[in-house]
Amino acid sequence: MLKKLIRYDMKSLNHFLPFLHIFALLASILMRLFVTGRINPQSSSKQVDFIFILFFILFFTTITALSTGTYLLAGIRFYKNMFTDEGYLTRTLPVTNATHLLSKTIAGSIWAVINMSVIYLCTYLVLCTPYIQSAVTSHKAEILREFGATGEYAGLSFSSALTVLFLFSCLGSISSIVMIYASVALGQLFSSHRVLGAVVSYFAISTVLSVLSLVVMALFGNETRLIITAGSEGDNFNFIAYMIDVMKTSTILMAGTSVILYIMTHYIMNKKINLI
Amino acid sequence: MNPILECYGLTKSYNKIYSALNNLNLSLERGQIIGLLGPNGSGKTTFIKLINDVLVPTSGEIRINGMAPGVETKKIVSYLPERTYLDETMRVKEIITYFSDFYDNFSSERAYRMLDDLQIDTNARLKTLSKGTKEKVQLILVMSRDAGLYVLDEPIGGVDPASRDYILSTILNNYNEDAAILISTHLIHDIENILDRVLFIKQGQLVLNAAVDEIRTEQGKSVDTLFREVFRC
Repeated sequence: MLKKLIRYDMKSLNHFLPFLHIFALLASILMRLFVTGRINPQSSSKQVDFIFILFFILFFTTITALSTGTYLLAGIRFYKNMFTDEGYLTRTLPVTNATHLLSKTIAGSIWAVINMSVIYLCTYLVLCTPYIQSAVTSHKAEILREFGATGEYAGLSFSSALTVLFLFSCLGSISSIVMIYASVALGQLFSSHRVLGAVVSYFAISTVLSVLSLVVMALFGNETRLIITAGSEGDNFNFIAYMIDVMKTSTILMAGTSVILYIMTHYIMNKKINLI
Repeated sequence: MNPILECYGLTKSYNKIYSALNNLNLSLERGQIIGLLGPNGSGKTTFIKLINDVLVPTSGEIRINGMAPGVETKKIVSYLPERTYLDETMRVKEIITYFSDFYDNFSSERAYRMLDDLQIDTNARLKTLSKGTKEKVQLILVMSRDAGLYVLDEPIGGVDPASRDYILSTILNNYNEDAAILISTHLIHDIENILDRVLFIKQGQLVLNAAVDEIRTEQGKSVDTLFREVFRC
């Protein structure tokens, strides 16, 4: 049953999301061909700089819209399929709520990871022009040293750093999907205005998690280290060491909160849902 | 054989003041077509939703073939809600595949035959069909299952009188003596000839549970007349 549910969930998400992502890729290719690919630092002028800045803003807006669209559509599918009129069919299929939730989480996560991959690919297409590539290659050792690839991190390469960053981003995207579903489920506990309830729940969960993350980071010393280093005269701040600390703490925090939110969503779906 | 449906002290309250269902006790046997009748807001749809596990009871118990609502009961209950519950972007034939994927007791052949009888285009998307046609599609899907309990909430409310006869004969022809059909409707006159038993619900409580023949022979009234008397405003 799980396979069948995933197939239908993917089919539903596949109505829109491929088009959004293909559009973003095409926009990135065009930007590479007509904007970043034509960068010539020797003939740089204020007008040209302004156009580049404008295009970069456009690029980041496209990427933000792409991510928002992906999460929004996954959330809408979950809401529509489980809690609106469609829920009268979905919830009367001979399938447990646990299977429904797992299917939707897998389908949403697949698209969240695809979305993240497309974002990385778009960034690569836009930024990795021959000029930037040759600049990075010729100053590779210097750049790595500046970022803190010294001592225990001396063997770190660009590709391994990017792989770790990509995996971390993917975990973050999956965690976002779980959080969106939890918000939708919490919204169902409101007696009316349940969509608004879901939005309020989303911001409430985000705020709680941000505060929790700050507290945990402060307790583990990450924030303090940044503040102390930023305020000190000596430039002994190691960006890589700091990022590794942040990622370790964030991974534990994301995994922990995702498990709690997933269990909470399952509990609400099992015990508290009343379709009206 | 177990009764197909049993309720013990079934209560559903939406808030502290109002109970849509209040201490409902009931046992229904197989091989019957049962009319669930009552005025608006009497608790019929709430009762139906509880049977189908889309509402959680406040207290009491509900048993379908001896089991609490869950995966096993959903295999044997075929439910037609009062609203369109299908993904309207899907084509009729895709919905048939969907039902056949999830319900082992669904007969695609029967569904296609009935769609053909009613001249419904299986390539059409749901959103392009009229409200009445969508209701016919839903009823066909529900009646194409070999279920133990069919629960139909207002099955003929939105269809034209000419199609009602076909739908009623469909209901009669597609169930066997091991199954029961529970029909909630306001169109008592149209369906009373196919009913074996009626349940009258008033303000969340059962006020009558009687065989239609008993009503006719002992009280000398039709179900429609008795309903008007019991629920006179």
